[in-house]
Amino acid sequence: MPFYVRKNFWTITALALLAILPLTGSRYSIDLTTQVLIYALFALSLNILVGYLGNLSFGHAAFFSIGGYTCAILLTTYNFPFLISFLTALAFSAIAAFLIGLVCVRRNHMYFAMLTLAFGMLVWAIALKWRPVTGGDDGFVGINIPTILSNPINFYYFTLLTSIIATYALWTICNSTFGQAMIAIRENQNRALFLGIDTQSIRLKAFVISGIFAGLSGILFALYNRGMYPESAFWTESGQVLIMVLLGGMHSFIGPILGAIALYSLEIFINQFTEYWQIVLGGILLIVVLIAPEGLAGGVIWVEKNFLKKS
Amino acid sequence: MLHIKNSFLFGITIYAYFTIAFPVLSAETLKIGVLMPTSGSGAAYGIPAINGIILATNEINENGGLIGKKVEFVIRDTKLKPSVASAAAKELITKEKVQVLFGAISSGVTLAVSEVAKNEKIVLFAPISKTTALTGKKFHKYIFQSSANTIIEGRAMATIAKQIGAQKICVSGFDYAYSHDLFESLEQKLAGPTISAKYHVKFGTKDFSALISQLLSAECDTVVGAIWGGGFLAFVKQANPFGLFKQKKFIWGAEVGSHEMANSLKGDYPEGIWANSYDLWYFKGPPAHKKFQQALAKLEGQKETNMWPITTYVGVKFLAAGITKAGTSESEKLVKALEGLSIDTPLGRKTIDPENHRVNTGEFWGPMKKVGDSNILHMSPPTYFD
Amino acid sequence: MIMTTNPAFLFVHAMNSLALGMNLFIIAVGLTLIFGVLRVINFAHGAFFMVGAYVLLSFTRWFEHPAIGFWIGAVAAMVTLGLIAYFVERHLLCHLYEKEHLLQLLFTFALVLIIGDITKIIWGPLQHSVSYPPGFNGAVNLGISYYPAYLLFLILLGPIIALFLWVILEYTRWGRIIRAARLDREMLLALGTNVKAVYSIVFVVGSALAGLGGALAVPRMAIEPGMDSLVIIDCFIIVIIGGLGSMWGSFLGAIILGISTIFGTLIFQEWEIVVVYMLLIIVLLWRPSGLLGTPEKERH
Repeated sequence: MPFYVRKNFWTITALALLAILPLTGSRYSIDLTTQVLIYALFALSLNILVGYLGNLSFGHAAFFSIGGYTCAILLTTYNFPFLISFLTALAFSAIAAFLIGLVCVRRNHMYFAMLTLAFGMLVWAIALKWRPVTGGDDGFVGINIPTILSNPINFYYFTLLTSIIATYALWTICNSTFGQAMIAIRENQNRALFLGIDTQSIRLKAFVISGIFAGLSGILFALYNRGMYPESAFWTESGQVLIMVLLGGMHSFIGPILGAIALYSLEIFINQFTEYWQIVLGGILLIVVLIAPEGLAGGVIWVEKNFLKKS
Repeated sequence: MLHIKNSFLFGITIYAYFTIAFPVLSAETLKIGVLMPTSGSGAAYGIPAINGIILATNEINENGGLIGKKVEFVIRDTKLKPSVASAAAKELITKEKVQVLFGAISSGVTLAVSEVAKNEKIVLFAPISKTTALTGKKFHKYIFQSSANTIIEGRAMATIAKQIGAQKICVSGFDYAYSHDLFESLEQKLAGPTISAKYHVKFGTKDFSALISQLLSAECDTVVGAIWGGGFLAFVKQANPFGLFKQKKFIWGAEVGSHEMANSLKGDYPEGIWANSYDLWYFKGPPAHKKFQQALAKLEGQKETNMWPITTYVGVKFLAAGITKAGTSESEKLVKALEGLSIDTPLGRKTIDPENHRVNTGEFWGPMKKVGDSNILHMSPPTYFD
Repeated sequence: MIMTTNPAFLFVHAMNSLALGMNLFIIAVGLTLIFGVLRVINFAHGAFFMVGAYVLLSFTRWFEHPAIGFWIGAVAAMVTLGLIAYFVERHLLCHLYEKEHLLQLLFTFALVLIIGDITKIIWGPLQHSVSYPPGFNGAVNLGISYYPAYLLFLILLGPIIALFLWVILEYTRWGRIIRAARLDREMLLALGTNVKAVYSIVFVVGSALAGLGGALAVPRMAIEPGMDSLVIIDCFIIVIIGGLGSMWGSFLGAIILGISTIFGTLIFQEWEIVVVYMLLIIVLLWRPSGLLGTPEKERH
């Protein structure tokens, strides 16, 4: 086996499994995996801020919904070609993240979190109130998507490909000098400043990157559901994705993906078995919090250290 | 970086474990996928509504099922969120293999499910959602709506306004599609009285003090409202000390005339306001209604039954009649069978309009009054408007 | 806006703003106290508020006499929440202090879910209503206008609770320890203070206030599942405007939120929804640590 294959053995296996998933012929698996991929990407984008930069954001759903709404409106209201709508939506998320980031990155800790919350809720209020454009509380339902994407399998591959590219891009960013700079800021902003790192500029860039990828997941969400709803911008949605990051473990690149898989599928599965899904999910989360200090990824490392290394 | 690979493997194994476990599909059952909010603020409507489904399904199965199959329903919580409902609808179709979708409360949520129904070519029967967008702007052939929609409700309000001698009307509701549609319909149907002011408050608010002062000082003799559920409850309790209900006439939609509402407000319920309800356990109606009420009372364990079950009961009965007529639950044939279908319900004969898939469902309207020495108000006399 | 020139009209709205603000203050001050000392953003604060409302409901049903039922119920709501909070802090939350700070968010989120289901199991999904306590259901003539007695009670109770907390924080030994814990936790530990007890007390008192706030809000609203999700965002706004951890800040924040909600609705109608968040952003840009908050630098 060539070195790079051995080194990335499990990643490649995972991707191969994902690639052949449609062969099982199960529409259910395909749909569920598409939904999970979208949330995994959303959680990964948030982790740039939370895990790498050490800035808690309570308003990340703002960029998710700006991406989704922009793409939906351009495709449907204005009948723009798919690629243009897609790219413009990304650009809009970037611009929104830049403008909001400009204000937010001047603040630290809780004040940063609170500002993101305020902006997030403002975006929600606008999505709700700007009825002629966004459809208001009824949501923007019935998005014109290209015929090729209307097939669930094709859409699955589209989402998978987009997620792989995006994840690879995020991985590269996180492991570059830029990523190192972010970690330096997280560990000690003043020290980073003394080392000559332009902390404000790095934080703003990170904010924009994070916003773009959140926007991307929002676009995928809108296309998948063929609709966009104001509740996707509500603070509970930002809270939900934050919970995914925390559950998975924010100090590893892979953590948020695990968190998204776990939380999203748990919600779906438990709902299938009992009306009282809240108490079951809450109980599971409680156990995870009390037992695994570093989230699920931490739990995996722990299992690995104590059981797998010996064999 | 070893842990990353193992994390991946770990995640995938667990995930596969859940997704690959498929239910055994039985040819003997006919599955209905039910989407209702059963947690959070929607639970107050979703959970009682499920009783109607239970009742109708039990009746059908006791009589030998449909086209030789037993009927089974599978419930999913929508959490009042469109994206959750839409994912649940897909799951019901692809995993549970349900043949029809049923339900959803709140127009945004129902519209999202309707989009799934359209793409998956599965019939969605909406018994509660009132928005006319469902069977209007966003109409497709797989959607059927059996609620009393905003056109019917607005028309009833206009008739009552004239009947009680309203001159100038103030309208007030939550700022969202339902209230806007309703007041638009009211305005079109009003002959004589005019709307002098519109007050919309933010959706879901619990503080109505500003609205109450505005209504107190507004130059109108009648208030037409559409704030529902807990919102109406809060509005009444906040308006009572100001004596608002003694100063103007009130016509209030959104099913606040239900026995549940009267029962929770008891002595605080404003006497004399005109309100509506889908059903009233104390209504002295045809034998079919009496029979339905007895069965429901047995199921709920109380004589004073809830209002929501009749909506879902009638909905399931429509579906059952459609499937029997079509001889199959296959979507295209079911749509054809449902179009123009008439059935006898506890409240008279109802028909699905073949053009817009709406049912001519009406509601009871009447002034809320003290009856006997109970402090729970009754609608007396109730009149059926459809 | 002809009507705003009418003094009686203005007066009623100003009073409404205060009443709304004071009810929210009683709830939000608990959140801010807990944050100030434990540094925990308690998402379950809204759920505690909801439990308080339901406890009051049960008491008004158990007691024939409405006044006894209501007032004992309000006290019982405080006590119940205090007990729940004691259990949660001593047996669950305390294990998290040493761990990653943000896991506490995950913990309080789990609490929200669990409490949501438990209330539904105990009290059912339907809406409930409790009347004003006897003597408070009418209006009082204040000369300039009639005003509901219950709202007057809330307007008076808010400052009384604020003053009471202020006296405790300012003039008692525990108050000094709590203030010190807000600024420097390690120093207190080094001085041999029982920090554990401080945390328990603050969490219990803060949660009991949420319970009281829930009980007192009941006559003006419906008791229903999901009533926690709306109040928590109002509390966040108040606490952010006033400054995280500041008691008087939440007092001021509550009044500001009350005014912006009532007058915002009058002037901007349904656009009020945007006004509140704009206000929030403006305050944060002008004073990043909230109106009366301690700037982050001064903390250790």
